[in-house]
Amino acid sequence: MTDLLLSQVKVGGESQFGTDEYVVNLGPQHPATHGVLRLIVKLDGETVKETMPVLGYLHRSIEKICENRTYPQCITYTDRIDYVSAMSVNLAFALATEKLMNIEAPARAQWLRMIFVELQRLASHLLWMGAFAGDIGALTPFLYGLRERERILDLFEMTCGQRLTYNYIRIGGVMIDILPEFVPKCRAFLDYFEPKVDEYEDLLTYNPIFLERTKGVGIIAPEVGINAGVCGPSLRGSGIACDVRKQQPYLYYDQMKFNECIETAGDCWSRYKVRMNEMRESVSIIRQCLERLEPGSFEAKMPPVLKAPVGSEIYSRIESSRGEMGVYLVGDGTAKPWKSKYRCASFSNLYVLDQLTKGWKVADIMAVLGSLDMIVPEVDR
Amino acid sequence: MTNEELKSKIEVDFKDEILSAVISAQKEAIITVAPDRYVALCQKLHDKGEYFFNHLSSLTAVDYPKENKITVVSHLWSYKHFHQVTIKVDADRNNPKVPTLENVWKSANWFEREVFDLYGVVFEGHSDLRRIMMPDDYKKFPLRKDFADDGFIVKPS
Amino acid sequence: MGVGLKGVTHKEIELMESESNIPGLWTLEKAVEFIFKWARKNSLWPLQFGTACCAIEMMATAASRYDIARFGAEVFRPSPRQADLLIAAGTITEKMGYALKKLYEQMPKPSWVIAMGSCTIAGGPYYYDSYTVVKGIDSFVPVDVYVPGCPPRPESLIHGLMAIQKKIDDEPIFRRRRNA
Repeated sequence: MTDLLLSQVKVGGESQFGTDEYVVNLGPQHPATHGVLRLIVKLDGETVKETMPVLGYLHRSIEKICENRTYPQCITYTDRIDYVSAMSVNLAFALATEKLMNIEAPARAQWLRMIFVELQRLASHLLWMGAFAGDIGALTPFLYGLRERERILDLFEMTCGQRLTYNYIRIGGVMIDILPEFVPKCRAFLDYFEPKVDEYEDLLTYNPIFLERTKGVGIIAPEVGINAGVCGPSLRGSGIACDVRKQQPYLYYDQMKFNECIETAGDCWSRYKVRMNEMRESVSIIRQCLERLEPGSFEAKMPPVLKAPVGSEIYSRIESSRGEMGVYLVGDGTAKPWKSKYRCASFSNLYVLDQLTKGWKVADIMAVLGSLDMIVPEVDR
Repeated sequence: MTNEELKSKIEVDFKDEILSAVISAQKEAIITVAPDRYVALCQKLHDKGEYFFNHLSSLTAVDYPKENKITVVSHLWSYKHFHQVTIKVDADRNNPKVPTLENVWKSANWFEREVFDLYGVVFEGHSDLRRIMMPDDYKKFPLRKDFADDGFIVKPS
Repeated sequence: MGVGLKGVTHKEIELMESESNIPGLWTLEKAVEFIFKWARKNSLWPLQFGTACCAIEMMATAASRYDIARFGAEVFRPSPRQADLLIAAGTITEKMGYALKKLYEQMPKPSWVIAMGSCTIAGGPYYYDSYTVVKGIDSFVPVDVYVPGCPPRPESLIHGLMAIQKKIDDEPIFRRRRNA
């Protein structure tokens, strides 16, 4: 039933050595595809001729579900769209709904949101680092990355009780205020973590095997990348400034001092370097937020049932760990959205996989896929 | 440019090609265009100049069964001028056909496949229009408002 | 040494004693069963099968803090032919269900299945309004242990693993072969 696609593939090529092309199935259960992504790869020996992703193995119809849930109920589903950086997706939906209904969250809630979203970016990049190095073959950074991530998850658990699917950033503010011991523990964690990034870079960045596998592999040309919809750290690795926090600031990012991390080579190594630098910038942003955290209420006064005006619509975007995360909502006067659409970075980033791996070897597919930082539920929703 | 300036400029530059240009209550610039002028308008907005919308943020569709139409909505962003615009084009619900934007932005390829899969809108000129999320032999269009299937249990309110 | 005989009734013990003509064979059987069960439950090799959010908690269970290597189960095999524990972690859609069934059938017996997370138990938060999610994997794969949660904490998954170990202890080995 699922193999109808293979019959559309034409097999057979010409070569002076009399070789033949063959079609190989990579996934959906595969250790290196970061979830259930199926790739149909046309190979000539070890060289890749074409890569065709088959999506839909995790299509959970979240957009249809959200059409039958009230706005606050939709936030639980946004956690599951990108479970590795769930706070960011919560924030994207909450900001979109607030713009739709003209609600303004108080200042303390905005600072808290910023702290948690940046902590989430750290956690997501640590998991990415572990998974990417694991795909290349280095199994130790996985254990280091998850060890630090557990400390961040401890901070999250202290605040909202959950380790993975938080449902913490709500419409109009956050769910509950932080405990008094959060700020000293967070500062202690940042002091502990900052030298660790240098330690991990020592392990990987100029490692000869890592350089062989990633330097010059999977180069995204800037114009091709923009046209194909690549966004986030993957595009910043090719030299394009595309950070939504700088271009269309939300929360208090316009008052923060941080650099946009850009590299120019456009290969897997540059994308890796962009994310390692982003970890350092996130640490600096969290420090600034902790300085400026002011007392106040953590949620806005809102009517008990939130209804969007008739004929209203909004498209709101934020910079999640993977790239641009956009939420498009259409309101119809009731408590449920008429239409919700989640524009996810991984969906558009995955499109360039075919162009990047043409003519390279099978092992390079894993390196490129890892460096694009792709999460399958973002692709399938 | 701010959204108001953008809307006024588009109203002046493309007077004959668009059906309407409004600023919504949420302060977004929304342009509605007819299907035959759709690709030409988007090409002009994409090219270098004062508009330079080089990034197609998202392309999706909204189903309005009461007005018997499916609206294809695209959001454009410019990495140079930092402005955003929304382009809408309507299609008849019984036989929805809209020209493709694939030749302007390559990212429209997969967005349009998804809209075809979930709503049934046919994009004319698309290089590879087949289902992307659902299995290839699936017959229905799930995100339409009148969808019903075995195993699809609607939440009781 | 009665560790392997918890689920066996009095009648079955009499039957076993009468069937063995060689004196002392039954004690030998008990000893061999003990060794088989000790080996099986302390080296459960899971299959690397994670679909969604629960897969991240499964990875956290295998990582530094909640070390699953203490139970002998850190060797996540990519191929089903070498695995004997299928931890179905994450939402299973219809398209993926065919793959899951094929993977389960490819695993050599004896094999065990843990349904991790509410999505695999009964569809989870996607029970209503979803046109693709399978509402519980036990409709096509025999499940041994259900671990509820959304996602379950790593401690819950380890509890589930220990429940599988207890189940291995309770199942007779040679009796099953005679009946099979």
